[in-house]
Amino acid sequence: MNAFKKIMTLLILFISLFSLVSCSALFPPPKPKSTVAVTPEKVELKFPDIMRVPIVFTGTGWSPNEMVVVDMVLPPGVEMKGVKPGEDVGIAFGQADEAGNFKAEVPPTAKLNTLFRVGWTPILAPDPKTLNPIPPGVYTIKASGADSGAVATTTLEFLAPIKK
Amino acid sequence: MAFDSWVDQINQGYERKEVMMRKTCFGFIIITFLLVIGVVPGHAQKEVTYLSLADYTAAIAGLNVPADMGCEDYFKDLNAKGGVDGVKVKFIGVDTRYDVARGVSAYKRYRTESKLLVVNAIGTPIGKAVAPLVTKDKLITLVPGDGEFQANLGRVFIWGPAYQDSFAATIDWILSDWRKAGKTGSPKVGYISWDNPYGKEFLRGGKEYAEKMGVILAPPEFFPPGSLDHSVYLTRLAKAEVNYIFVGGVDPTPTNVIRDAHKLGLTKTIQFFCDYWGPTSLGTRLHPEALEGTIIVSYYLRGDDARKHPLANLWTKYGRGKIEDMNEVYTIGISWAMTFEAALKRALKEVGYRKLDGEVIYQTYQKLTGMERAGLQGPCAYSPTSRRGSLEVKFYQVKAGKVVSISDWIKAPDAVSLHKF
Repeated sequence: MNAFKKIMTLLILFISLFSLVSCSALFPPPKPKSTVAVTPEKVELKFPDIMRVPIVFTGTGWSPNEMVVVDMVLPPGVEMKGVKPGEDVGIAFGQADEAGNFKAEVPPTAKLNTLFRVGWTPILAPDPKTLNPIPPGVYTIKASGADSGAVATTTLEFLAPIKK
Repeated sequence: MAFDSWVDQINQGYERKEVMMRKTCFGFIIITFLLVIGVVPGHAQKEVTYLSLADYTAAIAGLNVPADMGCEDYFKDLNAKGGVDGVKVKFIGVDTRYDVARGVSAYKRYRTESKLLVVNAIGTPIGKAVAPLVTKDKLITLVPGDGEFQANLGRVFIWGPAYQDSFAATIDWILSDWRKAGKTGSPKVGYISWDNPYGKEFLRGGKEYAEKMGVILAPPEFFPPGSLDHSVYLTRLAKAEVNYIFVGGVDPTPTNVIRDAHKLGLTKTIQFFCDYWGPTSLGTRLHPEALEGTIIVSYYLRGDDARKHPLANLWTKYGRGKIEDMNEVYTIGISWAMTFEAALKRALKEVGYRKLDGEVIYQTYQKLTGMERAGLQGPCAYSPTSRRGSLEVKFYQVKAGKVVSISDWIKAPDAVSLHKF
């Protein structure tokens, strides 16, 4: 009888443990939500001052070491060389660290190509005569994880140059 | 009687239902059959994708546009002939404007394209940025000429010999020229290029090669891309009493550097050289007098060598204009497409269409050793231990406003192995 009790206890323990393991596999702890934020939240569209203003995206909750691509959503009617209507335009990218945090800064070429829609001379110089800033306003920013497929959004406001 | 009629009606009803069921079954079988053999719309044709992360409207568009035209036209021609064993090539060209952020974003957008096999990143910074993603996706990337990718073998393949190899070949040319002129001692060589990774790549191994060959290198001059005047840098090199100057940059930058050297009177006493992206018809038309005598080291055909090549007829066939207006980099694009075609053909033979993927193409590119591309560049040198697109260079010289051949194909020395990456 004692032996039977022992076997039953062990069996119950085993079944309980197995159930616990199975449940944890079936229902893993919720993954932290991917986030993105931008600093500063408002940027004056003033050239060449903007070239000295770092526009930095940071985020948490991404897969470790994955590349995070930051796109700007173009509102209808905003045309951009090299971007088809309805497509978003890439403005930054960065790699998440082991903890899933990433940081990405808008490079000068993106400021020129995208925020100022500049034309280039054939000697790799931006042509100042072609500066055509995007319309001021609030733009949606979309960060996407290349491995996880996770998407997070925020907004970035572009202000018209303040007349002094 | 009424009962009999009622039974007949029921029986007829059953028969009608049976006929309908039979018809439905038959229809189902026919539709299934049509879907299987691919008659009905919705069945995708056999297709593979080639992605070009290009620059069509910004700084290097002058060379990138004609090069991608060559690539696209070759694929059009190939597809018109039925493709490779019935498999068509879909060419996707994205205008990244030489902008790394856009390049990465474009890759992310197109990475799920059906049977995407190769990504050509026109511009080293974009190639380096997308390389980790392309590697994860088990595809391959093509990039211009960074020796780094030969030193660290991976999924990145370069178009021809590494930049530093071409610089080493130029050092050999200089030494031969020096000796032919009966001069003793060592020649002194100047180097001037863009202040960016591309501009510096030539000396990562090239410098070591010059030292090994006993050539004295003056301190190199790097200028910011977009500089309008290069006189300061050139004057410093002249003060260093150099006999030869190697000029980097994508045309028309080298044309403008030599234009400034001509203004300073330096072209009379110093022999100028340019790299792969030196004066094409773009530059020679602008400043023929200043460029007279300039020597260009090239891994692809230049000038009339390119325009008279039989494959150059694709330029007129696809309505690009007169052949005399064809920029010779058009043939680089043809060469990319021919390499892809050869890999695709081999891969299809080895694994068939269904199993064809990036990993197969990666393995296949390494088996293209010795593949010929109608003489547009040297034989393919890709192998398990080589990421060089070819090993040979040719020297050209600007004479009376034209770029003419002054050498046969010459195997470039391996300068990559001399540098620690």
